[in-house]
Amino acid sequence: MTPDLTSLTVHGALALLESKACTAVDLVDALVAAIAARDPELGAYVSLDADGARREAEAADKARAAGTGGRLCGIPVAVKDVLNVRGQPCTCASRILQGYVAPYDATAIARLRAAGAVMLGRTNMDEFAMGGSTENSALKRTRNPRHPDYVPGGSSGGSAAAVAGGVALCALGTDTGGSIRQPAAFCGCVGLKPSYGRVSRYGLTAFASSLDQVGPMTRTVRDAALLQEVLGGVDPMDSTSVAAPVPAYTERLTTDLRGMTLGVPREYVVDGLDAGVERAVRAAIERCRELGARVIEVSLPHTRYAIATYYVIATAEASANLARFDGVRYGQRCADAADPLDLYERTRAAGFGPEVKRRIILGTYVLSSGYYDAYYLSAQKVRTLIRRDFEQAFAQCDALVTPCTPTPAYRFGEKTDDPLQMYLGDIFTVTANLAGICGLSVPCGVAGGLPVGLQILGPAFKEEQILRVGHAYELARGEGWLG
Amino acid sequence: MNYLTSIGLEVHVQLRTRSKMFCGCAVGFGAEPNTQTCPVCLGYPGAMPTMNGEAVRLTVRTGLTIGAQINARSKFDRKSYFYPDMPKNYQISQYDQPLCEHGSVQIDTPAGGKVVRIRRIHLEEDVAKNMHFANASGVDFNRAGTPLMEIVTQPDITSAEEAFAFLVALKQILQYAEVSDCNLEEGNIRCDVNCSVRPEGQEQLGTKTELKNLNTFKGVLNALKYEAPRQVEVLRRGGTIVQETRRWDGDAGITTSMRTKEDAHDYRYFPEPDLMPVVLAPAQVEAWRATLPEMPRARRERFVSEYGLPDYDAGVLVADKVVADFFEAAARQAPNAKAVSNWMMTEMLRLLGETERDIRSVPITPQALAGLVRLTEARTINSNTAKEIFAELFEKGGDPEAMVKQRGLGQVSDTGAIAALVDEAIAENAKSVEDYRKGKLAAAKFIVGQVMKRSKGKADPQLVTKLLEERLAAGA
Amino acid sequence: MEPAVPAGIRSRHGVCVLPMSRLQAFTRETGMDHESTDTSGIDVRYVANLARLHLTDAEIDTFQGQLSQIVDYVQTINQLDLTGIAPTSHAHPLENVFRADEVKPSLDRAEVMRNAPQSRDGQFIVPKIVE
Repeated sequence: MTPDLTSLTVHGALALLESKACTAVDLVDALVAAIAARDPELGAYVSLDADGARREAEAADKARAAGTGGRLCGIPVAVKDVLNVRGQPCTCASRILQGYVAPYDATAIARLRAAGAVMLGRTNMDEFAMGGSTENSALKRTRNPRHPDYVPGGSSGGSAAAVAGGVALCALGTDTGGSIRQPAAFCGCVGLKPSYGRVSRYGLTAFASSLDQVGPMTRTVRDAALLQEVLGGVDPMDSTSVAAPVPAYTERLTTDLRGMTLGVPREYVVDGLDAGVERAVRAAIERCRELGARVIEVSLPHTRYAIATYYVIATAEASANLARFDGVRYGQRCADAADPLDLYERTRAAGFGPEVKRRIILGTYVLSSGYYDAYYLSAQKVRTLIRRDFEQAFAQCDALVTPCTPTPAYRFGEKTDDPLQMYLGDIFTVTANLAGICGLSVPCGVAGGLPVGLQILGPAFKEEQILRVGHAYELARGEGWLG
Repeated sequence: MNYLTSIGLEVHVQLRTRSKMFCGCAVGFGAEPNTQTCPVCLGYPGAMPTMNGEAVRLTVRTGLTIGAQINARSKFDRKSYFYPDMPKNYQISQYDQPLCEHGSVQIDTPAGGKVVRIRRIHLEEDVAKNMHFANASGVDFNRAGTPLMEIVTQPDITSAEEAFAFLVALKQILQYAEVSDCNLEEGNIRCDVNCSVRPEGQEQLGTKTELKNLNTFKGVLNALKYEAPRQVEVLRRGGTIVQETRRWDGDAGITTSMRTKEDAHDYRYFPEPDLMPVVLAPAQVEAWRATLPEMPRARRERFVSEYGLPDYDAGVLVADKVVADFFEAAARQAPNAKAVSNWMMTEMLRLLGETERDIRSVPITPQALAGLVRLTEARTINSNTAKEIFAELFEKGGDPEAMVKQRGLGQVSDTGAIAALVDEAIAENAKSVEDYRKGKLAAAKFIVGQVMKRSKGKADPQLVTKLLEERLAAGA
Repeated sequence: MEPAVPAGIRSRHGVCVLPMSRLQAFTRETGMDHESTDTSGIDVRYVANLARLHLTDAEIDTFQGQLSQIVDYVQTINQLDLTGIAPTSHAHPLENVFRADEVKPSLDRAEVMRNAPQSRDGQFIVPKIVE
């Protein structure tokens, strides 16, 4: 019997391709059919280049037959609409970039291509990656594949929904304050935020340059490890990328956690923590103990300042990064501008949604004359303290295990009127971005019928440690976690 | 009441690099609009800057030539303002940690030498070029991202003439250090000026105005010649100076107030997250220092001591490094450096000026000039012939010694032959001889001219004069 | 150095992250609601002008309330004693990341102009700039 190609893992698909049980074109066709059937309801994709994907798949099949295929030869990948792919639109789910066609490939895309991957389509997101529910997309609504009334999380909500919803085998997301891990947790898939500097940001439309990272979203930790091997490494086009060797992550995965010490940060157990989430995460930590890990309590004392620090730094950088969207060189432009000032003000007013406007204003404010020291400079100093917290914690343990989010996914509209409340939901994820460390979210059960994510944090450039924890846990957890 | 003027300059210098500051696009003048652009210098989504190391080296080199402190740690910042010539609507510049600080440039003033302190030198990217049409403006991003070094002086300059002298001295230094092509027509050096006046005796500087649209050094000179007295006049009438930006109108010869936006100066600087700091080890800086060429002031002194040139001549020659290099190359091969200098100071600079050419673009070589000097020193040719040969070398090039040989231009120094010509001339010009004997010494010059004519210009005029005087004295 | 969080809703371990369900209570107790936040110092109209964003009066009204609340919240970082703490602008301390001064191919101008909202003769066209 023919397997359901849309439910494969990347490794499963590679095995079928290798054994000639299917072709890359079959994979693309199956996914395109699934998208046609399910995506009108799910809303994961904002654009799909089925013909282009088929052509790339044909080329991949030929390469595989010739024995020249790369490690991801013929694997279709869904790409968050924030990454530039040559010849494709890149709207960042914003009106202001309607009409823009990227003239170049992001380095992450170039690396996937070099490994033989096929660019399938572009996924929905919060506008310019600002948000945690994908409700800030100017293009469409993306639903949580586990329940249509619930948000998929964000900002990489389209990528998470596509992977968890059976319309992509794997996807790229980006994570500035949790935007890979949180939607992975909400939708029930695996999301890896690599260490800052691990994956080139060249071609990733910047939200907050000192926090952004590209990373894989997959169905298993092993798949995430494979994609990360391809994505990682220094890039001369990104001066902040780091020339640390990229280990063969997939070869370092183990079935047990003997010899590992896991830290549980006491500050991550908060009053607002959903009881179901807490229960699922505690059970997962217990499972890790059973796998041979030593579990200790650690302290990250400056956690309480993380949200404030994050929203100062991220919005400040965003206010500059988004200044280029002005209607002069690409994208949308308002009609009949009287002068350049009028052009800017009305183009940006019409082109940006409310959350982007809020963040631009906040970021402009914290950098403005007379406020820089009190906000931006102070936040950079607190960032130093948060980094030190992690350095001290990692002196005692190999990885930290925490809930990924305080609650499971929520209903549409539940938080849209209260941005601060929305921001506070990022508490467990923003710290990794501020510290530049790596983080992984792995499904660890359900709360109220919705997925819960176990977050595993590791020291900078030690992705192998968190992938090892995630993989061993995932194997022990088994398939029936969704209940 | 007397007023004192304080002037500070911000000089933007385009560095001599092949590629732009933060991307690999070519730096070049005159290309078709927007043909030297890429995602980085167009400010495309996702593009990231990468730092041109050569631009950093050239900036540090400039700092070293003016005795500046090279900061061990330096960083780049984003300076935010919206303008159509700005691809990202922020400029990558340096705010509080520039590459160089605290240098100085010596200038010559009528009152003697003077030191203008340099506050800082930082590195940044240039903006695009706007062109204005009837109902719209066009933007060409070829220039956007060109490496620019900004040199900021202290307000030590006290007159328009000093400002001009400073710019001339600075240009010389930049040329000598080979950090910029210093091509003013192509906008390689651009300048903003701050000017204030205050009553004599007052410590604190007056309110300053900023002058824009100063495209040439002469523009700076003329704008300041207008602006400083304008401010004095305002104060004399009991008015106050408004801190503002004023535009120099070269045709009208006046500065006028430009509209200013109230928020124009909230640049919201913050450290550029896409670029890492520059950390310069002392050994690196010393290695760069070791490669510094001789600077114009030192060279001028050396020209005086080594070649025995008058200070004025040495100053003229070193003013343009290429001219000085030409002189020195010729002087090393010629028997008389002063003679080489004389050719440079007179014929060479005159012809360059008349033909509006650059010394690099004329065919005459230092070897040729040295050869010409050898010919005149050996008195193989006379000065008229030499001038003609120089003009030909200037136009077409060639080897003067070969030219003289081939065309038989060598002057006749054979005493016997010349004596015969002198005797002929005396015989045919009895009237002049008589005049001479009556005391009209000028008559001798006429006879010399006759001898030269007979020799077809090739006789050595000094020898002719000598022989004639001997003959006339002997009463022949 | 405790943040201004009412004891009643402080977490078991003193974390100031708020339970979502209690946020309204927090804003009431700390006076972070719309009416009382005008002291926070953010002037949305002025800042939006700096950012070249035209806002409607309704937007200004909404944002003023929301952002005042957020600004009050982010001010909690100044409760820390930050004396002697170096700021972090980059996650990892790299330095001297240079590129060789080599020319790379530029983009094809026709491709660049296809993205331009308005262009003429290879130039981007903008409303007339009056200096």
